[in-house]
Amino acid sequence: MKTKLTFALVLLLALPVAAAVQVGQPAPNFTATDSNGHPHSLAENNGKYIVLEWTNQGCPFTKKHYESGNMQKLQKLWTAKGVVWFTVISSAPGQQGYVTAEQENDYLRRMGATPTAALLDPSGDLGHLYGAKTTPHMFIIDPKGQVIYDGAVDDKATSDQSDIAGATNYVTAALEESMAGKPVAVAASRPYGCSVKYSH
Amino acid sequence: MNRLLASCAALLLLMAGCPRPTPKPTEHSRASLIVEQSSATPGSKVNLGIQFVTDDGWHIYWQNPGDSGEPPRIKWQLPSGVTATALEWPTPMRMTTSAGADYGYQGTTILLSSVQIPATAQPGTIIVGGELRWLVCHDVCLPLSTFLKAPIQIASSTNINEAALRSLKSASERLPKPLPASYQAEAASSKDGFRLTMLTGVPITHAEFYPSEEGQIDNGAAQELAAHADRVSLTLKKSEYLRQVPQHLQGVIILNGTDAYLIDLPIHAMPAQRRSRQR
Repeated sequence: MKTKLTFALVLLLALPVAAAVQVGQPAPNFTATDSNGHPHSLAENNGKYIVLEWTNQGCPFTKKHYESGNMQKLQKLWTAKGVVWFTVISSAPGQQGYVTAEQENDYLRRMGATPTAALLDPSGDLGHLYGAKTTPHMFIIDPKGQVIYDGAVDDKATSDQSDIAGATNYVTAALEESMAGKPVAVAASRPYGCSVKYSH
Repeated sequence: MNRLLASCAALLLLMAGCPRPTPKPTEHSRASLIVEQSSATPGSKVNLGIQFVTDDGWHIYWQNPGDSGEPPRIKWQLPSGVTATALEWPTPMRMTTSAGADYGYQGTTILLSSVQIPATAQPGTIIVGGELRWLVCHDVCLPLSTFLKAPIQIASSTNINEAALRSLKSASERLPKPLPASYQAEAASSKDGFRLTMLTGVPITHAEFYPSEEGQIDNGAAQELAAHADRVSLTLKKSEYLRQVPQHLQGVIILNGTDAYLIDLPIHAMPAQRRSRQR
């Protein structure tokens, strides 16, 4: 029994790793246009911390973090410390969360959201390049251009606003630790939310 | 359901506590509380079900929603001394999304629970219920919530609600069963995956594993079934978000497309020399 089982185990092939980006590896460069028509790239922000936040206005999990003001608070807190914060919209035209530049600017004003820029990605290219799965899904890149966090915004995987107060915010934790020269304790977590509404 | 309500209406004069329609109908998915007994004795256990009726094309989620979504949650509000057991979840189905794969239910689903009536309960009517929150999704998701409640008469004799009993019985048949004692199963961890090996004594042509815990396996990855002499093995790819190897592999395994079993197996590390030979 034991021998047969171990024999069976030997047959197991190592599986390839399919992650689009990997924590500890260089972040892939991208160029994208924001809701004011300005181009942005990873390369031009070399030497800075960058946060990528995937969003979809209609998603209950995104609403949890915007209607409570939680995401705006994070944007304000970290951009004030020199972090570049890109909100990314990868919803395809006709899909939930797709917005024109004007609609996005209106939303940002209405919600009091102040990311460095809102990148419009209707083709889904940037989303696929990073393997963005849900809204929200957060990535953090350090000044050396390495991915230091990939995952959920916090540890309470619900759409309930009342869960924010008791949650551990992984983005804040990772930025604080990295800026203090410490290793990031939670460098990856399962992102939770709505699936990103890519074109099919 | 109509017949159920009709028979229930007819019985209303005789007894309190029929399966109740949701107090507030909600969009695309409606929830109600089913109570097996309209009257119960002190110290007894009363079986309950939270029934969801979800529109065609929409779905709700299992305890592990997979790569997106959220499971239903109930915050019980029960009289002092009355306690509810953890929800029991019927065997889910897998649904592919752009995020990977989700686990959930379509159509009518009943989550099972029960409440324990204290031995000291006094005769009279008690109300059992709670605040239910759940997410219903199609291409888009809607958060729903409602307050479910039902009365139970505390009396010296038991009164079974036959319609509720039938609903709950058929729901319990949809729960995954304990693994038969004659089956042997083992779980092992490699660098990139888990391997579930089973010796069942019956031909296995298809197997699918559903993890109870979020973020353990890559939900969207193919699960490779292989036959080795008298046993089969299922290879599961680890989640890219897994931070440390869990101690147990817990979940539901569906064999040959129909037989759903609960498994909870300690995870062994694969021997180092074996690992090196795999490379």
